[in-house]
Amino acid sequence: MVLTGYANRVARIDLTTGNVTYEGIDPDAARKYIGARGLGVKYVFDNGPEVDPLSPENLLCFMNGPATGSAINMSGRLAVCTKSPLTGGVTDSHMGGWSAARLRWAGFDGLLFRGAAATPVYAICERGTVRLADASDLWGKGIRETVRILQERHGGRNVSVMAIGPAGENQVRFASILNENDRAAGRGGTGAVMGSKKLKAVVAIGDIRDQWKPADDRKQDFEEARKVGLKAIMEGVLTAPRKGGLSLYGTNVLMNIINEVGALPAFNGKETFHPDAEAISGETIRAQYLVEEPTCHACPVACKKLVEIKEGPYAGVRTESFEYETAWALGVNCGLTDAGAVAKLLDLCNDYGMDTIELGNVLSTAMEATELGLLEDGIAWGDAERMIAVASLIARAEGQLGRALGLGAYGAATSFGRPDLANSVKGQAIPAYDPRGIKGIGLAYATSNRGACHLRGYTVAAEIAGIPLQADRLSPEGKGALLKVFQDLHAFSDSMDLCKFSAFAMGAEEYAKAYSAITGVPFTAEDVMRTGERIYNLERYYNNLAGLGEGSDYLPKRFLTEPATGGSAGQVSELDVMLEEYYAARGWKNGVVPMEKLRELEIV
Amino acid sequence: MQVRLYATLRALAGAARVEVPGAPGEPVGEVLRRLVAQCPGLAGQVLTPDGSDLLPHVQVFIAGRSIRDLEGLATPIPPGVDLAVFPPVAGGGQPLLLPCIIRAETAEVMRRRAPARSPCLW
Ligand code: SF4
Repeated sequence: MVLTGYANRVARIDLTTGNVTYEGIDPDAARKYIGARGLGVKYVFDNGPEVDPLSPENLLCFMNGPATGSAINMSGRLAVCTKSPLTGGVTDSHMGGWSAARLRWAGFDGLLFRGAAATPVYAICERGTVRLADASDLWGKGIRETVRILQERHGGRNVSVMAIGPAGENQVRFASILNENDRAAGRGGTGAVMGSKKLKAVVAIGDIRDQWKPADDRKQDFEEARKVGLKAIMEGVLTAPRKGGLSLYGTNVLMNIINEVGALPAFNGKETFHPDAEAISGETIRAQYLVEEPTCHACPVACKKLVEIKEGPYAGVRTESFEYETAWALGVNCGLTDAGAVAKLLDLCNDYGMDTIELGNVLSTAMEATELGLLEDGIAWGDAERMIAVASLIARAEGQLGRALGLGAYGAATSFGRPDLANSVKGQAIPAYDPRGIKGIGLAYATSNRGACHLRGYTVAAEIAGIPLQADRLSPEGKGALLKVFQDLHAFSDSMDLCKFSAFAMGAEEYAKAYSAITGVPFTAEDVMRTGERIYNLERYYNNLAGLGEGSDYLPKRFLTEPATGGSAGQVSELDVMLEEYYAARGWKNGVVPMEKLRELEIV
Repeated sequence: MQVRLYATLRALAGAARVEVPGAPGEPVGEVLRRLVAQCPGLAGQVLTPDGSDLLPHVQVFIAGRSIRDLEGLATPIPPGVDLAVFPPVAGGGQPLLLPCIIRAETAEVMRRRAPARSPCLW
């Protein structure tokens, strides 16, 4: 029996032959893995763990969840799942805006691309069908121009375009996929996989909005679940529209507080404090550069921050969204605190299609290598013009430097003969929190299934904001159990697919209520946590089979041996202690999921 | 002493930095009460109405350490430092995440392994 809440339609597109077939959602898989991240990972798992990420055999999934496109608040996210060329493990990367909703309104829960086209193509999804069209005229173009042309060609209204730029075409290992709102599936190199398949864009023409309606006998439950979520958002201290910190300043509200505690990696992590971080903080951006505050489907928070640079060498740059991670990666991490230059680099990433976090780490790694004399014609700390020039070389895979840096921070550092200079885990570079000043997030980086990542288990909430309870950020105690809870809960919300900010308003109980109202399946908070755990373990099992076994949960040596500065002076990460506790909580053996755990969670 | 204010507190106080009378060794709470008296816009934003506690999720840092990890409002102010005061601000990355996510589940975990209170910082 098919669960309600799904379009019950997935397209399998073989790009080698051009053949398209359609199938429903397997009810058993939907129950176990929900949708979006969970179901996408299941498709990738079933495709086999040994596949070369950039070969035609790799599977590239664009996935919705059961909440996608509905009136449930923050239900506008889409998951891209595949085997990552950056980590060699499974990855899921989520974009906001309206792409997810429009794909749903085009009649789909998901699109599964396999094979590779001989010449560039793009896919058009409309009214439950997918067709391929020639994209030779688009190949080589930036994302903005690609989006403009395809929106004009296909009608504009109701049309979402998810495209790659030159970085994806050139298989830069950290290439991203962006849509018409500059929202990115940023991490893990999903854009490189798309480029390897010669798939330039996916166009979703979503004109059957009323397709997503709760069944008559669940209208009341659905409306209740929606209202509970909305009320919490409207009253949340962070999310309240135009009042909460997230709504007013966006994610960059974090810059000053993380710097204050000495957990802001600066100069490639040589320091954990930057005296001038305020210049690119959310407060400064709001006061001096903010021009618009866009939002996503069904979201009153509007945390996106569109900036315009009005004077100086970068005058005229107008781009979104000036996020904390971006400001950190391309800013203080590289010794740069010029907001105009950061905006220019962000704008380039949005058009070339590159992950801002990985690019920032690539540049900072090259800067440290330059300082150490390992790189001739390298990059000096904070040299904005050179950073901009090198970003273009990377996206276009030009020259030895451009090609080396296109491998990501770890690949680049390895090519310099110093892999330890890269602040990466499993081949993916860290985001904007230093593991020496916030101990739990270091454990989160080490154990994330998609490489270093803050979004797989955001212990910062408890360690910095004291939500839901204050944890001592400098103590390794209790972080293993704490992290597992965060990881499992996020795995569930990523599979619905709800924006992670929903977490400000909702806990496992509210998620269970929303899931029940949508699908008609009785569901409890315990079910939410168990389902999240199952998804996390499936990912881990895939990675184990793909060769990421014992010893693959680690932190770069710098965080274990070089003391932090600023408000965390003298601190290093006690990873071993935390890992031991974490593995005990997970029931894993040195990072490997045992068969009994797989059976217990009904994975095998 | 200098008190640095962040996010929404700046507009409420009308300044990003405020000079407040305070002597080394004094409890943080005293300085914060003076701050609120000096900047009436901060009333109800930092301290509870009776001034006896910090509001939930407000963070006050001394040399990078939250007073919640020290002795709370009774934490004595060491010489030569300033105070930093933040309203609730946690966030995440593009997509960030957050907190309340968890609530009951996390609370249970945290109760089981209550974090050790760190020693005073000087
Ligand atoms: S909180 Fe921000 S990222 Fe999340 S749905 Fe709303 S606008 Fe989009």
